[in-house]
Amino acid sequence: MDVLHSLGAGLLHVLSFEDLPMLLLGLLIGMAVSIMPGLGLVMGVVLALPFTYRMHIEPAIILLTAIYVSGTYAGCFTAILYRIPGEPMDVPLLWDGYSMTQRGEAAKALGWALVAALAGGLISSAVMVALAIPFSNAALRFGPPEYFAAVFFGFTSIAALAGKSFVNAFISLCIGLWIATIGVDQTYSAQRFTFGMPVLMGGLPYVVILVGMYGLGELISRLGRGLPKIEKPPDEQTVGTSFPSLREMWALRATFIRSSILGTILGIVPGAGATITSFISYGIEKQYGKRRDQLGKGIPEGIVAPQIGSTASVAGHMIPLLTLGLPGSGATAVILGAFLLHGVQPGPMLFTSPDSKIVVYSILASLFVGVIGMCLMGFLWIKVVVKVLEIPQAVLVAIVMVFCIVGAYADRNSMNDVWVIVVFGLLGFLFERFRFPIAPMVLGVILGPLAESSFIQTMVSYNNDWTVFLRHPISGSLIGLSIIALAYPAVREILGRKSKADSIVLQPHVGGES
Amino acid sequence: MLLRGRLRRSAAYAVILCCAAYLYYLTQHIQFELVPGRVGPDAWPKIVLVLLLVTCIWQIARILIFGAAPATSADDELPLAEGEGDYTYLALLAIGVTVIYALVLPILGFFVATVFYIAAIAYVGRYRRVLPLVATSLIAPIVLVFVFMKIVYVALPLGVGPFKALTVVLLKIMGVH
Repeated sequence: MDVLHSLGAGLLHVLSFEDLPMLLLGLLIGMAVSIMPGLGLVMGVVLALPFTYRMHIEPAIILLTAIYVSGTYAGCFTAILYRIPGEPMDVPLLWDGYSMTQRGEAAKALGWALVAALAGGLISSAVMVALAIPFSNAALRFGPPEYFAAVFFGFTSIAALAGKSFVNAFISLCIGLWIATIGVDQTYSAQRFTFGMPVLMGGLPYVVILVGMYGLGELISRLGRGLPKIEKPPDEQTVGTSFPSLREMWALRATFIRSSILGTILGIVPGAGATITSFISYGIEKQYGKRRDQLGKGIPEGIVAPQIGSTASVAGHMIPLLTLGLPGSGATAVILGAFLLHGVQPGPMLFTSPDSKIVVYSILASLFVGVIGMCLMGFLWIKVVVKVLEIPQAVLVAIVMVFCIVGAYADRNSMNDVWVIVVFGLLGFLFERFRFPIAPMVLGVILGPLAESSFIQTMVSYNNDWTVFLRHPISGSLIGLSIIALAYPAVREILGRKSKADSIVLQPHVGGES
Repeated sequence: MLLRGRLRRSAAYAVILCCAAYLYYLTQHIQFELVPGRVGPDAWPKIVLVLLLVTCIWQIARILIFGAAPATSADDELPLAEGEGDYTYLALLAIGVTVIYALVLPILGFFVATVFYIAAIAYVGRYRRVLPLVATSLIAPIVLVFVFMKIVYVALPLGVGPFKALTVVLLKIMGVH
């Protein structure tokens, strides 16, 4: 009852003159960036971050969360209509969505995507609200060993899930953890890796690192891949939305339930971002769906499953962020950065004081309003939104690059930060080039200080006894989960090799024919 | 030929390995007075760098001995659109232009430097329509100056000498004080 009361109070805040415009703006930005191939929702959140410096925390987080949530939906427009996935998470949508478009059922495909995003977003948001208090109560019992184990689990799972190569993801994570150690150590006031440069004494500003890696680096990489030529949008008649009937939706109830549960649960796991949940939801549909043999040929299940998976993962990611202060994806890492910029450390304490509690519930309520708002915008303004594609890519990239640089400069009005972003932009490009995922590095930078302080506190409190992490039940369980996460890539590789070997055994006959 | 391919694939890891080894060496020289029974400020970076070193050595061995396949990313799943391909030189050009932009920003000021930067990056991005390019390069910095200085209150670099005078005139026209 208290939860519903708090949620109602949060809803009133969201509908206030301060929060609602930010929510609507966030939804629009999220839609625009996810439609443009190569920009993506994380870049949208990163680009908006510098503008939140002078805002209150509540509208700032609502703005970023709205970009995040609508960014998981709007990519369906270009994937379904033009076969251009705005982001990797939209790839499964085009397999069936574009097939429907080719059959002249584009409006129906978009209708299914809208219904799926609405259902996935609302169900997972409701689950998130229900889980928030139990999670924060559990987190209140966390001491330094538990916190270290939780962060360690976050690190291992993101390394296991973030990229296709565990080794590269782990190296990326270690680089991030090392970057977090640059500057003057807080306990001993010892200089670490400052190379005698005063600018490095206070450490590197993580906002600039985020904008450099996700923003500038990604844009440079896009220039290196060549900007795609986008055909002019089709005539206005084909860009519309047609809703499925209730009977049609009832027929897909199993897909709705399966994908909603999967999206929310996977969302809670650090590292399993919207892309992974989208692909896994599609994969599960391919294995267990009633019409699995027709998947990929243009059936609604192929749109509903990945769309629910990606939208539901947003609320899932917000649970560990708000209750433990642990981001599980690039976008939530940026949102954590926004919290820290405003001097607020997310975690169980947010739920204890009335002032911070209302902020949390406003954020939670904004997800419900945001999901409904993005679907309304998608339905009403789709013709306007797809016009974004008419902006020349090269010009857009140039302007966004300026935004990145000014965003870095704006934090402290410092030219040093401009150089920092240039360096991290170059690093981001190299990461893309050599297939090192960026998310683990960014999480390492943001969570590195927490990992180090909880590790040092544990060592001090327990006389340098390493076994304490295994002896405490919560930390022991989390370390156990971390070991499973570490073993997962090895198991995946072995299974991959086995299936490859099996296919080679079966292939010669086929190969001989060709 | 096979060995050369493997060496090329392991080059990035070798570079990281060398950097990590050097940084580990630096941790030996961190100045502090150790409190007995406590972990020093060098402990955490050492753990991180040892993990980095071990991982790099492991990966180099995997590539050189077992010929481990190169890593892929989620972007590889995306189908190649028309106009996409390998244009690394454009990325390098963009980096060069960005470095020059950072160098001249305090001298030319935000407005003048950004006019040239947007034009240069759009050109690097193979945009060749002159009139829209010139128009965008002029209008976008004006809008950005207005947004950042009038709405978000960011004190953007004004430049020096005549460039500063030009920026100040522009700011006066916009009503920015």
